[in-house]
Amino acid sequence: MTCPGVMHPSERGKRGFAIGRRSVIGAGIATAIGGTRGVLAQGTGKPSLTVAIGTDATTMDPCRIAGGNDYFFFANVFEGLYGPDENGRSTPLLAESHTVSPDGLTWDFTLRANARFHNGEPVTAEDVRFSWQRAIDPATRNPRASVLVANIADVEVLELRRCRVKLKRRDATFLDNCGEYWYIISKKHVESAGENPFDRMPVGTGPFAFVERRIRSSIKLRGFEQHWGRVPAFGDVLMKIVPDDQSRVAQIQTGESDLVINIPPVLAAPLQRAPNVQIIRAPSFQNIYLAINALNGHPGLRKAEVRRALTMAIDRQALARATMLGFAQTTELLCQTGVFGCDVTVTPHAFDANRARELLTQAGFDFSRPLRILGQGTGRVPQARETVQGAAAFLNRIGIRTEINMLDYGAWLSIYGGREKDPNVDLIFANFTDYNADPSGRLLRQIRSGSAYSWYSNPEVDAMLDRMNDFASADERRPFVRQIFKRLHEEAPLIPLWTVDSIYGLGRRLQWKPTPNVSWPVLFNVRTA
Amino acid sequence: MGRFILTRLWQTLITLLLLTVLIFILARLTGDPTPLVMPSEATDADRNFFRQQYGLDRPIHEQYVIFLRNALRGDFGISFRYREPAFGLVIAAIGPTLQLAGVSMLVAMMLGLPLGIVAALRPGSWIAAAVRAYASLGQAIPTFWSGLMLILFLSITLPIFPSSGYGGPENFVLPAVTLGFYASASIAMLTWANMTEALRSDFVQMERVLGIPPRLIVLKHALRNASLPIVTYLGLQFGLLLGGAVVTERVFAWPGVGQMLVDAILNRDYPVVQAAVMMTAVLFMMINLMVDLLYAVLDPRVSRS
Repeated sequence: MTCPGVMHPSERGKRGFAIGRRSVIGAGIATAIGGTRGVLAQGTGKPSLTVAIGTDATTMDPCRIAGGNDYFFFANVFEGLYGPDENGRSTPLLAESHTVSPDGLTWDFTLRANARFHNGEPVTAEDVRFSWQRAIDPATRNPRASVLVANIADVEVLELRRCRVKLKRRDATFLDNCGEYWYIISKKHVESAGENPFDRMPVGTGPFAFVERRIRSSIKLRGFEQHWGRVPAFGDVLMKIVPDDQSRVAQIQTGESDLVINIPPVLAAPLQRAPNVQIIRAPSFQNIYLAINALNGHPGLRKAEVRRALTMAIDRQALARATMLGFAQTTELLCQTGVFGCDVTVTPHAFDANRARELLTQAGFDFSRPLRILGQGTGRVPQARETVQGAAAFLNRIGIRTEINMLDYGAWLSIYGGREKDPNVDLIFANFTDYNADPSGRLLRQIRSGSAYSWYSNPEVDAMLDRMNDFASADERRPFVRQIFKRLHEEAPLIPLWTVDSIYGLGRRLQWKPTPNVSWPVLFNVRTA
Repeated sequence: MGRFILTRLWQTLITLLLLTVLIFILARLTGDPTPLVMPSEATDADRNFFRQQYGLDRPIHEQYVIFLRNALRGDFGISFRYREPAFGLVIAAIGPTLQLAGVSMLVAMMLGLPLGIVAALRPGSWIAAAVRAYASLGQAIPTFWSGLMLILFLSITLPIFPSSGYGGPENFVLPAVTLGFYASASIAMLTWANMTEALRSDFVQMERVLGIPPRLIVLKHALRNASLPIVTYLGLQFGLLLGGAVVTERVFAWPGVGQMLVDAILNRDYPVVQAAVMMTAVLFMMINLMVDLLYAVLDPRVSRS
């Protein structure tokens, strides 16, 4: 509960000396340098919370979200009709309830009577309609419109707090995606704020309201006392941008931050012994795998039996232990616990080097030609370099020669996500972060022929994927999705390695459980111990 | 003197023009920014619109002419990543960088100059040996390590200074000492060498014979003669700190222009890369110009030539 120069009264006894000495020295040299650091106002009378994050948000506009890191901000300031509850399950947020027509095309939502925007205005059905209109307006250029809002044919205002959403085609992911792909915004605010209304003052409905942003330095939020139900225990929240991992960890060790996000495994292990820090780990949705070029790479990779044998050649458990120091959950399927339809029983492609070699020989695999592996330079994914080197070593053990090419993220992404797949690449170290527990995001973008990250093509699998969301109920859909995961396990279009744990450092005086199935910190449930 | 300044200004302008070509081409050699800027859900139409919106679909020479025309008006375009004017972002970052560079240079001079002078005055003594050891350490220790060690000892073990962040005066201490320590090592060695030479020169011997007080000889006459290379080095070092303190900025979460430039390069944010390089180049050239002018003041032969 610290912020620079401000301390919650309950902490003074313990950390007063530290902060006091900093302040005295600071004051001593203030006249020499002339700093401008402000002191957070205690507007709500509640303690403040300081959170150290690694990357700044790229936008404050919910229609211009570019990636997962933006959700550090959006998941706390904006809400959809539905969104994840504390257990990661889809739950009504701004909507109080809904009904759906038997054909799954018409959804009627009743909004909460006490839902308000941060500017005090009530949330109305007209705002829901406006949020959809702005999200699909070509002038907005919402780069993520294709996922959900483009499938909405119309939003009708039935009453002040009732609206009807008509879909163009059935979409079983509709409610799950309402959280991240369709945030509800205030029509009045947008119309009165002029151009780029969210750059000036983002107004949402979430548990925290925007106060101030210093690009590449910090984002300041404040607990929204009029929230319909999730009122935070904290007043001011300061999100500090601290890009360096070591320095971010130092933030929690010194007590300058109360919560630190994205601690790499190599730093988390020793931090577990620090007296004033709790290490919190939770399964994230960051999936690590080796994509296989089954299109135009090594000819052997077009055979499913070869791809399965390669999966068996790598001891994923040992690799995870060695590189991730246990901060990862290995996966057998192209999904992990919590993902819809992932509860499938399969015979694992368990590690067996001899059997892998035997299967490859039977399949006529050309051992004389090396497998060229595209790796990702350090920075984005923990232990990326070591993982590739370890996987290559396992392949070498069964007589496969490997050539590793490590590229920085931008160059790597250009090849991995390129329209034309590079024939000089056979295996690609890759990561993919899901936004929620629905599997369609990952499958449609990683597996479906022609999609950005797919290096595999199978018309039968494509047909299954195209049908995957065309269900009116989850009960009907679940067996079909299970069937897809089973089929993909047989096809082995990629080698699943693990799901990285999200690792957080939390001050001893706080309590917090990260929301499962969500890859960013949801802060409203941070509590004092 | 006026002609000297005009010549230097003219040379500066030519260099800047050449730099615009160079940075424009180099930025584009990093590749297409679209995959990094657009989310994976974006359609081909969205990606194409992005390229059109920022003029990336035009022939390269057209893009350069537009860039140059706008840059002359101070418009470097909109950042792909932050959707804010690139020039504004760089201006916001240049303040913290200038402040840190200024304080670091102050630290470096306060440490390096006295150490160099003392070592020159006491050749062969333990002081000279200590200064040599200090300079060797300062040059050998990389800033990321010394920065992290300072955080470990002065933020974590002894909680005196903030471990990172920008804002109050207390935030300057650790990054400025990190950078200042590194730069002071070279300044000490340079001052030592030049002072030794100056102290051995005929005019200093003559002044000693004439009975001029030693303090006056050292600080007024010898130091002035020894100062030309030191001033050159200080100018270069300050220029390097403007764009090159990347590691220190990262370790201390300092929102300066060096860290911004590296991020922009990695994210292929051309407008920010161009604006940041041009801005640091202009500052660097201004510093060089000032150093040249200072030369002329310190050594009148320079302006005469």
